[in-house]
Amino acid sequence: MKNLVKVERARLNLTQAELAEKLGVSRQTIHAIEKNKFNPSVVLAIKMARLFNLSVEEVFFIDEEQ
Amino acid sequence: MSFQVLPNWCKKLGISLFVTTTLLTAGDAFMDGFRAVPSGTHHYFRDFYGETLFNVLHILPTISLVIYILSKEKIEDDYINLLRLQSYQSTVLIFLFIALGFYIFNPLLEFSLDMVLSLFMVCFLIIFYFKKRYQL
Repeated sequence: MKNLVKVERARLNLTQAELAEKLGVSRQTIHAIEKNKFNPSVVLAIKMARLFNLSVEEVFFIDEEQ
Repeated sequence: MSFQVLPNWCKKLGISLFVTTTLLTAGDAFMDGFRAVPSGTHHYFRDFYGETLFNVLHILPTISLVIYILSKEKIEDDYINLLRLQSYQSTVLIFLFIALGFYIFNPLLEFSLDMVLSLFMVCFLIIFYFKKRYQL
């Protein structure tokens, strides 16, 4: 699964630590999600999508080539 | 189910207790190793504290490591839990292979339980630290 977390975070001009604080998770979690090393829980994905004013499918999507 | 039952401040308590009690009790063993003499040759600290207090101080480093391990991180989330589980898995596998190696070469080799417990916990903490810090 791929995501646009890094792009959307940059659009809101937030650091990983700031985004982590807003979502109540650790900075390592944001880093791991951005690097596609960790797929967030449904709850965290919804929280992120709400923060970015997007739908979950717009932020997280399945890479068809994989 | 999370086993992190202690609050984050217990980490500081655990590490302080570990350093203090280790410094208070490791002197004899260090001198034995430093001078390459059989274990138990030096007993300055044992004599100084008395048998009972020395045994209590000897158990405390292991207990303090347990306190440290059971304490919560500043922020607990799914990813930290995943890293913790991966660290436990790696530690168990490392110890399994090392134990198997020792058993193959010398089936009668004996280790004290407190040494194995402490090494297990220290190994876990090192792996967990590197996984968290460097996203391994």
